[in-house]
Amino acid sequence: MSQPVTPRRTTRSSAGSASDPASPSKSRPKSTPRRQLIPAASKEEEGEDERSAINALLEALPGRRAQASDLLRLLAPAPALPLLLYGGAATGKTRALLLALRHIRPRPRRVAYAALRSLPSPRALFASLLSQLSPPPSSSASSRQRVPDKPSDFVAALRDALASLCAQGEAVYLVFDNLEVVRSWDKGGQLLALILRLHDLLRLPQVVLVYVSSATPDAYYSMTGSVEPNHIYFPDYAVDEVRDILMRGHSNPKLYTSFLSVALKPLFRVTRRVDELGAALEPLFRRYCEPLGDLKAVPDESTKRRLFEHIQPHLAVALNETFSVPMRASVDQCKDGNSGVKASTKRQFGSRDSLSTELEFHMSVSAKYLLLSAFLASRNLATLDAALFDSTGGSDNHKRKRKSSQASMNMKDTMVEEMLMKGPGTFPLERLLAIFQCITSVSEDALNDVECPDSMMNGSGMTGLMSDVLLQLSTLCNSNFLSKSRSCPLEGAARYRSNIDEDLALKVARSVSFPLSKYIYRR
Amino acid sequence: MSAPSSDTPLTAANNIQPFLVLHKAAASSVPSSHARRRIQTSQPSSPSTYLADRCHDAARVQCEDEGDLDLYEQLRLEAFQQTWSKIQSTIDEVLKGINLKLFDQVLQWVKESFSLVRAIARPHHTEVQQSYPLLTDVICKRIPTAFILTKNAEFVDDITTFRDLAGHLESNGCHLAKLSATELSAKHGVGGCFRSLLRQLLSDVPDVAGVSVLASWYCEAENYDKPIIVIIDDLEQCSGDVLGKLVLLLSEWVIKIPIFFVMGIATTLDAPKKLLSSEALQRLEPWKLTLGSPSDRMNALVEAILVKPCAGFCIGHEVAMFLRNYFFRHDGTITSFISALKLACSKHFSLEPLSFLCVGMLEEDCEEFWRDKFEALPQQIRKYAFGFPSCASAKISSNSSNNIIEGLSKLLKLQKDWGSALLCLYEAGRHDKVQLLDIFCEAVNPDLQTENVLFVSEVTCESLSGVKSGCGKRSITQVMNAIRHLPMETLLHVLEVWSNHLKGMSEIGMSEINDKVKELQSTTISADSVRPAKERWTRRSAASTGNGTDPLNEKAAVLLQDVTRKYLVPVECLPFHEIICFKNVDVLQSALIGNPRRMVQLDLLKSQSHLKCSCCRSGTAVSGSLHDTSIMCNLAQEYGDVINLHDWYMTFEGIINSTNSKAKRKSYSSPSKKKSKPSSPEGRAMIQARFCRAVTEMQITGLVRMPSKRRPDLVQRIAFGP
Repeated sequence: MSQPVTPRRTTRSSAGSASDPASPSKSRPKSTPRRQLIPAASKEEEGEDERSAINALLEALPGRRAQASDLLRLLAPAPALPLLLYGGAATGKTRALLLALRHIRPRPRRVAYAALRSLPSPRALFASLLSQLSPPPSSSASSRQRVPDKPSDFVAALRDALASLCAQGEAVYLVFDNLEVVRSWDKGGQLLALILRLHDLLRLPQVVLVYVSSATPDAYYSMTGSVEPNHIYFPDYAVDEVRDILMRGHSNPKLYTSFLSVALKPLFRVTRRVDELGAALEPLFRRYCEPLGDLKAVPDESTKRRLFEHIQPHLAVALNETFSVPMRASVDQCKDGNSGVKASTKRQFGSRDSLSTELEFHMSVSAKYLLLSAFLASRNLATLDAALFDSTGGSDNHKRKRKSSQASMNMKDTMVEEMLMKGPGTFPLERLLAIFQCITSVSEDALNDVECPDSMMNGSGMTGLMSDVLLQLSTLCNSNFLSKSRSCPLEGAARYRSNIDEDLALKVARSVSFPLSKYIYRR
Repeated sequence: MSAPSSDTPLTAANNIQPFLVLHKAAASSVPSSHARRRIQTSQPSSPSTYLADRCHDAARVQCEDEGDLDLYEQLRLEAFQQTWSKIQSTIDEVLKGINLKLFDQVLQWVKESFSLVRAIARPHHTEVQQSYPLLTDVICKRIPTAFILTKNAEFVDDITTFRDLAGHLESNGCHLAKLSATELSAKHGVGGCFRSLLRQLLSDVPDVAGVSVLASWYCEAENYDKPIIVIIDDLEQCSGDVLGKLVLLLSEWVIKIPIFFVMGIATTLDAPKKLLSSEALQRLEPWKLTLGSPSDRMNALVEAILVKPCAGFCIGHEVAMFLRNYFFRHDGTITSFISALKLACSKHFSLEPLSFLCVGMLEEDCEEFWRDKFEALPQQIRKYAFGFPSCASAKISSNSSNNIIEGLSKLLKLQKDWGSALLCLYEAGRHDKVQLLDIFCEAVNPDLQTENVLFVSEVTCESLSGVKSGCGKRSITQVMNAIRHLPMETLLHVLEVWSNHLKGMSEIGMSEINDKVKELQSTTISADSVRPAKERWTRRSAASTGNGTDPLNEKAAVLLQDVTRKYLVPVECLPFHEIICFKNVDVLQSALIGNPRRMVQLDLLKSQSHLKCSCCRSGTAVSGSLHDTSIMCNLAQEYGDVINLHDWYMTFEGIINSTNSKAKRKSYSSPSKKKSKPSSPEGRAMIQARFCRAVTEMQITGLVRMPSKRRPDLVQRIAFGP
């Protein structure tokens, strides 16, 4: 915090002379440009320039012509009502607002911007707003400003700060971005009401409140009883608008157009968010360009066809991936800088298969058995344990089923269905240990065959496996394979639940050659 | 009334035996020979009674020579410290070498990501400090994130890895912060988490911390233009909600303040998908990096510590098998393997009187060292040295110091050859995914030598894979088979490595072997140049389907057999190996797997034998003069898995009362005068109180569980069987 002491007003008064370089020179104190919004177009007076500035604004916001002109109209002379910009994520709300604030006349005296998402607590919000509004403190009393704890104190402080600014008679803009985030904060409801009622609380005509939110106004104004603001709605982009946005700033527009004509439509069906599309298209475009030697070349028809055939399989993969995470594509790239394209595509397609064959990480044998028993305990009903884990190791399971009557079969079916709907069940530690003991004792013979004569050292091999079962259990809990509910340190009466899916369980079972499917109860 | 306390300290020491042993692993305290003897005597049922006896003898020998006792104690302690520090530094070096590759990858990634971020925009200091976002053409602001797959469900091994990674990045000009799962928990929330991030970067954190504080810090000249790396080492344990919020918070600023994540994932790449919301995932630009798998690291460690004679300490077959099983079946972490090894090492030096001679293995002039030491030895210990069973079998009977020195140098030489032969085997088997630890376990098996006669015929009849050989020679057999099916290129490489390994050998016969390798190499090369690659491939596939194998492969296999037969002499077959080799698996096991609950129960049941009091000698019936908890535990043995509280109490009261009345009858100076009227209310209250205390003690030691709400009169037993 080594900012030089500069009363803002003095620099501001010399704005006419200082604003023409538009770039902060070295001699200029740091704090000054920070207080200004984006260094504005220099010659403010001339009307023609103003018109061209508006055109530039519209240019910078493809597909947002209506919203941009609304913004300019509603912001320009300080309006009587607050303004709410709303619409889905990545529809250009913040960008439009910031650009519009740069272009409105008369120029805003001060803009305080608070992105609620990047502020971890209400106090941080208060501090951020106040520090943007009040002149930079003198260096001696520097950063240790008193930050109000209570909302009422904040309103008072805010009024003080604003009042001194408004005395000059120019508009001050307060922007609250990501307003929807506040709802999930601790005591967010109260804070939200406070923010929305600021207009009533402050009663300063020069202060313009702007809210930006991805939730609709109904979410906010249904019960606060505050003044209903002006709305500007930002609808989702249409496919052509998305194309315009994506096209901006590409070195080879022809090539990119041909790429977008192939890739955009299918992906657009999956998601309409520009940011998601951008993220998904970027690796695809890199793939698309791979066969090309020269990236500056303008593709002709035959090249386009060739490229299309090249990209087609990747596109199919990307369509399935866009919705979750575009992780694999990048992963592959990082892994094989040198291996050929074909190999990596093959891996992409075959990745599901290769994943399912072997376990990717190391776990000790007893942890594997414990995981399997947890999976079984979650999956099967407790009442079935006796049938599954009797002395024969569950092999005469079928006989028993055949004997049972149709009615009881039906009942069991509904029970199983219900269980599947409920998801994995919980179980106490005892049941887990009992199943663990059963399945390790069954597979003990096999284990001894493979593992050489260690049983003589471990007492019997079983007790060897049992020895630090609780340690293994905590390992599994740590890696999120099991989740554990309330517990008492002495009694250990916690209940557990297994979170793994059947694929992983089968993989684990295969790695210790345990016949898992024999023990899963199915209809 | 519980115990006459003449020898309480002794029994107390006995009772905590497993803990005492664990404690000694710290090697900070000098184990007195007194304590050692007691440990030995308290294990009369150990299967390897021989060793116990030997050590007993040794202790006795030393006791006769009280003056020298301290000296040799001291020598052994020094020897242990020297040996272990050598091993430890070797371990560190090996692990560092393995990790360094990953570290460089991470650093490379950091540099690339940083230049990418800077290519988007190079914001001026003032722009960075503005609270509103930069207007750039970037559509999606994503934080470059490296997911490091640690490939081990257990996390312990990677703590040091990530610590070293942090150091490595920091020394290469990055700002660094580490967030752990405790900071990323729901309790602290995103605010607390962000604060601790700031605290690691800034020297002075204001009490209200927003990103702007970070921004103004970043704009200071000495901080600017460096990436900030946030390491989260255990992703799975973090709260997904908090981490997601942190990601969203930082992603808004990523162009102004280049913050990158490095996240450690113990399981699979699914973990972040399951943990984070899709919105947060959208803000990450992931890259995958992988750490060497635990078995790779294990192979490297085994090679450096156990195969190459790095410290003059080695382990016997049983101990090796135990460690191997402990690693694969129970714990699976390198950390616990190392600590077990350290325990074995400390045990060896504390139990084996001559173990201080180990250090000689590291000396330049080891014979001189041994001569010095040995000549200073008192007569009894010399006699002890020649009483080793390995000497008896090798028929070394004269007590001259030359003998033992010769024996030791031969041991050293043979160990080296053994290591080289083992590495040759491993090199051949490596392509068939044979683990070094497996081969090692087979190669230290003393039965290997006696079975060597059978060896050739066994291997040549290739049906061996189904044979269950008790000592488990399967890995070596597998290697032998593997070498017959190696493709030419790999074989060539293997031969090259062999000649490297064999170069170090000292024997006369070795040069001959080395010549054979050279010869084989030259033939391979000539064959290689004659035949085009494609033809070889078809030949290979034909060979693998048909019965015949390549003659060169066959030759290599014969050579390998030769080497194995001649030089793979397990250490336990050599005279004087007891000095450097730790074989007592029981001691190690009881030290590692304490099984405290069982020990507590056993001690409670047999408290008479530990206390050695005069009052409760009776063997069968439960005497009332026992300690309350001991009585209760004895009584509990009569029940199944639940105990009826009322019955239990009644029996307890009966026993107490009978003793009291008996004591009253016998002597008037009974210590329990107050309880002379058992039927009186306060007497009963006292008994009830004692009962309650005993039950609570049993609960705390984990022998019973308190009654549940459903069945308030029944206690559950947890520990069964003595």
